[in-house]
Amino acid sequence: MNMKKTGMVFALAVMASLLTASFCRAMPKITRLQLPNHLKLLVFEDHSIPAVTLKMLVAAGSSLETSSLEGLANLTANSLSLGTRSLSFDQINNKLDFMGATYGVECTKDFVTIDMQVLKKDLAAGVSLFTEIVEHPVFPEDDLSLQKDEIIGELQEDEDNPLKIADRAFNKALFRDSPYAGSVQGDQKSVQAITRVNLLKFYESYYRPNNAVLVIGGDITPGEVKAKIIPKLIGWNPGRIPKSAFKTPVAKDTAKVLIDKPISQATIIIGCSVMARSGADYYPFLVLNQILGAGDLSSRLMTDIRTKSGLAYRVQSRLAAYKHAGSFQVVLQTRNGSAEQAMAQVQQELESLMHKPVSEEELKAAKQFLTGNFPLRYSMPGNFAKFLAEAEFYGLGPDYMQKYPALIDAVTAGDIQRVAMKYLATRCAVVIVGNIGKIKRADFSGPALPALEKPAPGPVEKAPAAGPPKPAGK
Amino acid sequence: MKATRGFVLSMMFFLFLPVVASGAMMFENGSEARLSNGLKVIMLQNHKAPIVCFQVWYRAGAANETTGKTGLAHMVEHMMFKGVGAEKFLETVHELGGKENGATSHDYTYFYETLPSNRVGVAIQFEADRMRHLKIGESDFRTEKMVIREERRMRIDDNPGAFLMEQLNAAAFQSEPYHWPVMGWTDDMRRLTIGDVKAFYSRYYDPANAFIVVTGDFSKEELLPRLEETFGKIPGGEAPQRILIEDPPQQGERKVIVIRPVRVGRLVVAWHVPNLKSTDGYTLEVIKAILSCGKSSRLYDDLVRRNAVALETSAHYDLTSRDPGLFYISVSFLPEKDPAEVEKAISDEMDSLGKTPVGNWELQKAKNQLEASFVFDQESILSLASKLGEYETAFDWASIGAYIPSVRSVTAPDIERVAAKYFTEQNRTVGILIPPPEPGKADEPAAPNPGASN
Repeated sequence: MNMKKTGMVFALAVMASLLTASFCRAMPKITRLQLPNHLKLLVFEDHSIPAVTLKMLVAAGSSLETSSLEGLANLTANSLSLGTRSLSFDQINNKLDFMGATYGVECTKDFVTIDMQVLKKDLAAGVSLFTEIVEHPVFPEDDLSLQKDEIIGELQEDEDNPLKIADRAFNKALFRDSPYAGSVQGDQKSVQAITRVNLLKFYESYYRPNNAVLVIGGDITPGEVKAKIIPKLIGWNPGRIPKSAFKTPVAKDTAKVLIDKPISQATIIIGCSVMARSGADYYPFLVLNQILGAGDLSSRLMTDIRTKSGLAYRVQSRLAAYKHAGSFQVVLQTRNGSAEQAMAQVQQELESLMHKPVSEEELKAAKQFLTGNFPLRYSMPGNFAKFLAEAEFYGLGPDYMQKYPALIDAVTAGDIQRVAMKYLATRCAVVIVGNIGKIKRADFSGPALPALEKPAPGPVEKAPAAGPPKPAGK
Repeated sequence: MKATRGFVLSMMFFLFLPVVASGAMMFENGSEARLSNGLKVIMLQNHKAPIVCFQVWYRAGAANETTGKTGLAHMVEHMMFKGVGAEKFLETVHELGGKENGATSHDYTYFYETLPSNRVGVAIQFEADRMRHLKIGESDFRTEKMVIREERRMRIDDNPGAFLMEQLNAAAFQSEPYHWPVMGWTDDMRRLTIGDVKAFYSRYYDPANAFIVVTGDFSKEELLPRLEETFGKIPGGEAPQRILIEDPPQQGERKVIVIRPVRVGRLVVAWHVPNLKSTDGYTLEVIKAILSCGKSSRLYDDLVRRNAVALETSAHYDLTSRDPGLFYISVSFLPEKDPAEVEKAISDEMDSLGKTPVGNWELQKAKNQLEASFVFDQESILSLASKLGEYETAFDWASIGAYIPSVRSVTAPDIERVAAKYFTEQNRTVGILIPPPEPGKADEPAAPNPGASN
């Protein structure tokens, strides 16, 4: 992968301009509307199939909840559709299912998204239901209790999934006492403790039109939105949104967590905290991530750890930049006995980014992927709506889509080395979930992870014995 | 029953929800052509974005393997990314902002690229080359063998739910090749040799045993001559015969129990059923929707919401398996639940389908769900192409046009008849995943009492 044919360079330069052209041609035009209640509305057209996608983003993510109510934001989002002032759980679901519509919510650290996809012929009924759910939920007590059980069951099931266990431990180790440390879902105990009153208060505080963006895309025109959808949104009352006092995580030593489980592979996450989404370092880091481990089989990690060494089936890097901070992870699974070797190789790759500029060929390839992949990635209305809603939330500007290729193109090899030095050397966390007895020696020392001296005894967290679980909550 | 090189197109519990008239119409624009060597090309244009999905399908999968050598088809799929020029190809697709991958099932192996329309030549050149001229090196083979072992550990060995499915399939199918996993049994995987790979490749990777699917933004007038110049020049051999092996009717319920240290138990019930070659297949699609689509579905409403027997429920049925497969119900539950109670709840659901007619509203709801999902699926040129390929493997790509009319024609008596015919105790296999008994509570039976199931 480091030995590119020089002949290709010219061809790539020509392609860059072609891609930018196709990129612009591919993206639908966006109409922006602002309602008197300050709800932002974005509309785009795609008439290829007779369906309409609605995606609402509300700034009501888990980082806004207090730590004793971990899981509140997620429970609130999932409970919107339990019942409204005029519709019961059964009525809502009968309506949704009879239209064959899809409905779902997702809660992240920063925000919640509420999605619906509905056939064009059912648009009016779909929109009525969507706005009713978002504007008038009542969180019926009995249904809420079932919803809590469902989440607690999922949390229990997550304990059979090494990657989920590792990810939860990683966030905790990396973000420490910041609101980003907690799991979005909360834990079994905290979810059980949440009351209807907590939900009502959280909902009243954050589910307001002036705290939300609605993207509507698909087989629809701005004219139809004005005539048929806006009338159902204007009655939603704005409110004062509580100021959040976000405490940015404090940089300390590298944290190390070992979780023992009787399984055949070690799941390893090595990572660090990085810039927020709005930070200028985001674009160099995005390109770094692409080169290191987001580029499928041609990434550095895949080439080294999978293709050359056969140590893993899956090895990747992941960048998640939030409103106030970000996290960067290298994730891999390898048999317990190879954990040490795989970690050493990851370490080498991280060091190489810090100490050696990436080649011009790699840089070009990564940039071209990041811009050229746009039409493919966003050709589906749901994905494009997500992109637009998030760009709005993170304040990237109404012309972000036009600016994006230039932001990527501007990144240099020097920028990448600079951000590697800045972020990869400190504020790190390492998590291993696996059969600790078979992982020969958990040695993750070295410049990239400086705080861990040789066989660091470190705080070794024992996972709860994976025996028969305690009854969950009730 | 698929294993992808990238991520899992996981076992089978992705809901293939369903949809509308105008949606079905998109497939009416599909067409086919044959190159001079007989290689079939299936095409469906969609110009909404300047991208193309190019796929090559081989009618060869795990079902073509032999005892002691399971996992071979999947291994060959992996080796298809290791030939001369593969590295450069992967880099080029990446630089173009494209995506590529391959997947193996019992019935087929396929490879795809999605990339900018004006660069489809990259995919054509490379796919034509590796159809017949793959060179496999000994050291690449050795490394890749390690990779698939890691893949198996990740997907199956350390994933209790997937492990249970593997056990269940092995019990439900006896002579049919669906008996063994696509990934292969661990010891068989260890036994694979480079000679096995070369022999499988040379036998099954042949224009006579393949077809091409192209969807998205292209013109036939440009595409077909390019395919003729490349794929058309490969001499077609003879299509290998695949014998149809069908298990004799099951003579009684089978039960498989897996004991692993899990936090959540799982129970799967599976019945032998036909595929789309029988009209009963479409009735089974409607039954799937009645049981499992949405929170108004019967399984969610009865098992999760009303009676709190289960944490999660799902139904899976693959209309386009090449040979008759299984209709699965899968339920997860808290381990303090008695699996016999869960099993009884599922039995009751299935019995009621065979005894009480489904009401008009519920029937219409299920059809609407299937139709809507069928339309939504057409957003993606990748999913359009994959669907065409699956229908072609099972029967004929054009039979996809029958989907909506066939679903619409299902009646309540059809459902009663089909349910009573297939969802019998005699025809079912039950798989149960539970944790070992708690120490000190060993006298309490944590394992299901076989006598209590009915």
